[in-house]
Amino acid sequence: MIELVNINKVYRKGNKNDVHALKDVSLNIEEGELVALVGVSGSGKSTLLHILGCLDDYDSGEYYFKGRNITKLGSKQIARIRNEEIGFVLQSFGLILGNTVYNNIALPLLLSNKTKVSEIELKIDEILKKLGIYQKKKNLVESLSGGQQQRVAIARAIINNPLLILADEPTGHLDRSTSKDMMDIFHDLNKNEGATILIATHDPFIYEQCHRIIRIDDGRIQ
Amino acid sequence: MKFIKNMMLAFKYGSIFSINRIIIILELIIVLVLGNIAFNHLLIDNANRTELRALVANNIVIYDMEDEEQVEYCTKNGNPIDYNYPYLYFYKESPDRPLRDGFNTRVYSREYLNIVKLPLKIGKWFDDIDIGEYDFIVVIPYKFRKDLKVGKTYKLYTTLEDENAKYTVYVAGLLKPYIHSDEIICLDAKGIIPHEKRYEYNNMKYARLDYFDTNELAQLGIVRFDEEYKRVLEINKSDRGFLVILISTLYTIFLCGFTGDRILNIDTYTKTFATMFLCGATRRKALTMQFLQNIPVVLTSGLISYFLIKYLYRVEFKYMFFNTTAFFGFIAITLAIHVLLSFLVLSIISKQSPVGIISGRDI
Repeated sequence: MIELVNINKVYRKGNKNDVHALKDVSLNIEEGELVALVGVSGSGKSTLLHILGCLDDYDSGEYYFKGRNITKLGSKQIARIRNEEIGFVLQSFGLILGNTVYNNIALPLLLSNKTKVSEIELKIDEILKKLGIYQKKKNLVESLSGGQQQRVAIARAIINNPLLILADEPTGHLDRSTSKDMMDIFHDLNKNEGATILIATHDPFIYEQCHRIIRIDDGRIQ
Repeated sequence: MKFIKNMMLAFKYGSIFSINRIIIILELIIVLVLGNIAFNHLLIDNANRTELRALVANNIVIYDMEDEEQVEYCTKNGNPIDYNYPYLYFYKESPDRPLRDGFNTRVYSREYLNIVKLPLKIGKWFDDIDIGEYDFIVVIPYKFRKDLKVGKTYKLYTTLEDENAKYTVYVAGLLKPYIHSDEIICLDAKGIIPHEKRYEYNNMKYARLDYFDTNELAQLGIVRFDEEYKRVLEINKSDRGFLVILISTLYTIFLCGFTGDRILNIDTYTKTFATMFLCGATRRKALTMQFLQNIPVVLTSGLISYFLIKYLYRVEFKYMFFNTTAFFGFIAITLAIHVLLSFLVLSIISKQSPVGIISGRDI
């Protein structure tokens, strides 16, 4: 499903202090895999995740997502892929404060314009029930605990039934018990929904539960 | 359609119901409503000043008919006054009908109406009309605009001796809304009202001015303009100064709130931008959302203020009517400020990478 060929990414290019974040990275991820991307802080795992999620561009190499060469797509097509085919779960949750759980989860649906207004609520209710936070539907996100906020972030990530879920240190701000719950959710999505999941982490508790571990160090895949 | 949809989406995710947004909406409503009152007050004040100058130039002073002391003063010091401007009622329907809606009317002399010229919304003042073919020529207050149309001639009944007689009444003009009046201003073009009741301008040194709200003048009591003119204008001047300061203060408070919100919450705006990008908006769309999100704030406040002003006008709150210039002037200034602030915020946001905002630059 995902193929990277010799991807390079340099920050502050042309500057004395440039940082070569990814060096000739090539990898393949098949549909339905649960993969851990492991590396220490500063190893390039977040950069790789952002490129895989079409959030960031790269300086050289090729990226194929379901056979499509991302390099050759326009910004609108890339945005559509981010909206419909990729879901993101972040360490900092990335929720819009001052808004309800419902509004946060509805955002990808409203941006995609593909779901009828009458269906949005049904879809959100279903996911909230599945993740056990249905009773928090009308709460402001800032009033929720860390674990609940992460569930909202997961709900938002999967609301459009994406092919790929990218999680960047999803349990970084959570205690062990809540981290276990999160991993249970990822396992469930992977096993029962067939979602391909890539988790960037340096926590052994997380990566030991994944099907495959990709190690990255100093911008290179080991 | 797409613009409105994007605007509403931006509005929804702009934390509209957060406390600071509600405060901004309330501030803008207060600015718009009080701004309207202050502007109207200034306009009325301006009309009064014009009026005063015209009367002073013609050696006419004002007195209050309800104040016996003033009337006595006038009668002692000027020519005897035995006359008030006559009232009339005009009716559209036959006086035989028991219930009739009439139009309060006050008749003035042509000489007086040549001196006193009130601002008109549409139409012409009396000195610009060929009076030959009409019995009465009238200028109507704003409140009668739906009952009588400017430029039209009506056959109306009156309360004069022959109640069954119809008179030709030509509607020459419509007063501006801020000229508060319950009465039609009328010129008896053909001298129909009996002579002994008519106003003899040349023998009269005192006139009554009560067809619009002269609150400041009423407080002054009797005024000899040749002596007191400067004082009157000084008082008006201080009133105007106060109103200008009031409007400026209100708007400054609002501006501080509006600007403060954009600057202090730039972090929130930046994160919202990044989250929209993350969820599938293009960079351009996510930036546009940040620009659009405050427009509904301005428009919501404008709409609420509009209905509040209309309501206050309907319940006859003093000095209240919808002043188009003041209202849309404020809205335009506010939108312009919003645009400037938005460009400032956008220039800050656009220099940042959404990825960097989302997670910090963790390589």
